[in-house]
Amino acid sequence: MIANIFLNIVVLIIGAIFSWLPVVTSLPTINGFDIDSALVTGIGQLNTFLNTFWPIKYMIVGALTIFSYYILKMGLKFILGHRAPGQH
Amino acid sequence: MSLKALVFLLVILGSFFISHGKALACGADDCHGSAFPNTQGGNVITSFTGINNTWTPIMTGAYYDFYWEYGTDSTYATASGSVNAFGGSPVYDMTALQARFGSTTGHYYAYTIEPISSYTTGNFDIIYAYSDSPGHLIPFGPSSTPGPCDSDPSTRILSMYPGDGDIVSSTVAFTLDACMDPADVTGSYSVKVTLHNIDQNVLIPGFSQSDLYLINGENITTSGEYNPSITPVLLPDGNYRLNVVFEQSYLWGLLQNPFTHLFVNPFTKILNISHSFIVNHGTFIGNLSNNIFSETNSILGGYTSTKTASQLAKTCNPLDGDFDLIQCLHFLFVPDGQALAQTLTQAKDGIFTRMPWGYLTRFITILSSTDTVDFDTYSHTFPISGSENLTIGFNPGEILTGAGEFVDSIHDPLNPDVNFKDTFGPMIKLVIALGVIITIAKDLMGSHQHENEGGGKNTKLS
Repeated sequence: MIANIFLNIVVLIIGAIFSWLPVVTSLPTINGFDIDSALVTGIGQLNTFLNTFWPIKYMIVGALTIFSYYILKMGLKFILGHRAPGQH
Repeated sequence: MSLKALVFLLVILGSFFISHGKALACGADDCHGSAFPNTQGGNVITSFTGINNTWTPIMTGAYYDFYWEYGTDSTYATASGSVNAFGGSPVYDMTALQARFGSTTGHYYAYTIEPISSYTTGNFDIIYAYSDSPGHLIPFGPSSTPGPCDSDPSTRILSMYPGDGDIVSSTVAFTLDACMDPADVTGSYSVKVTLHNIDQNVLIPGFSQSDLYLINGENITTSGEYNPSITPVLLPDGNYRLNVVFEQSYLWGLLQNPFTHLFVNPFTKILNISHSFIVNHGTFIGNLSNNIFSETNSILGGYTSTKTASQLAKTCNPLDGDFDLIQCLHFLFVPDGQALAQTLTQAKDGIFTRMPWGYLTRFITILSSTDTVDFDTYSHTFPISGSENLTIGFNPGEILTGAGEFVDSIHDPLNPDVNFKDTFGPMIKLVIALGVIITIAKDLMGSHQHENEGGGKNTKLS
């Protein structure tokens, strides 16, 4: 309970500090191009497609897993430098 | 054609005719008994089929074949299967039977059927229960008496000896009386019962050479009560822990959901219960280890997400009968999961949505959305002659839906409930998962290149 109260207070304080900043509800429109609605439509249509052709969803999950691995590896290399596994 | 091939062909043909012969033996029109439509969870049982209170025992022995119709208000499908004796005992001894079958929606429905009169007369009143998922039996129908094994994981163990905290003599006759759900059988679950010697392992946590497997992964093949025979063990004095686990086979889980299985939860356990007990006399260090184990379990298991101000007031008040210092300290200092989730939601809504990082939050929200949007339709009108026009339209959504419906319409010829996705989905997932593993493993192993003494990299020529 004390830990929860403490975390709540931290969140409230940080929230109060940044409360003057405007809330983002959608991505901006640049030169008349609504990025938010374009992305929502694109991802929605992609979901429709993947729900129909389910094997492609698995392939994308597999590809994302491999990308995650490479990103993790890059992060390790960035943090550890030559001490990262596989570096000399 | 060789003799082996001929026998194989005959077996295949025989199984085909047997399976189809059963279905033909009780068609949808001539096997309807007295209908008593009942609804539960959006489904309607239209009728149990055949004679003798609308279901027909056809086979002898411990199994009955049965047929019935089920489905939603407008769509019905005929199901068939076997009713086997609950608990695996002969039917005439039984007070309950259990049936299980798959629906077209992929869910499973379990029924407990209790014959009231002698089976030899062929007249049975039935009591049945309904389930919308593998597991929970929900009372359903005119009267209901759920079977002794009602699938709730917390009630799976009917009895277990030695009990938690028991002090027993040297020769321990272990007993286990557990409940097995039909879902355990189809889910390829197995039972593992392990005896852990606390005194010998307390100094080397993580190693358990002296663990004794009383039951080492016995596959669950029948539902109902499970009473394995365990040979009594002569144990030296000290502290012990008996652990019972219902665990899904690794290969089965891998086939069902390779990504989750490989990276998140390799071994799916539906039950993991431990009883600590003492043979004659406990040791100081054994008791200490046991107490820590019990406290950790109680803090991580029993007391989470149940904290309220009233509980806190009771457990932290020394004058209250429910005073408990451990619980009080836990309530005070261990963050509650539910409240923590609320705090994080507040942080997300109140802080992460602010400009400029709010754009990133919005971007991630859109990417992780599961909402679907229909594809746009395209059309163009061509003037042909005079006032006549020709309009050509293109609707990618219709093409996609048609293709998807076609794939979904491909069913296993012997099991209409299993479609193309059910059959090949796990295989495709497994192949992709293996591909991911091989790619990562190849990269990991290839990242280390041997160097020769001069500092150069080894090649085929060097």
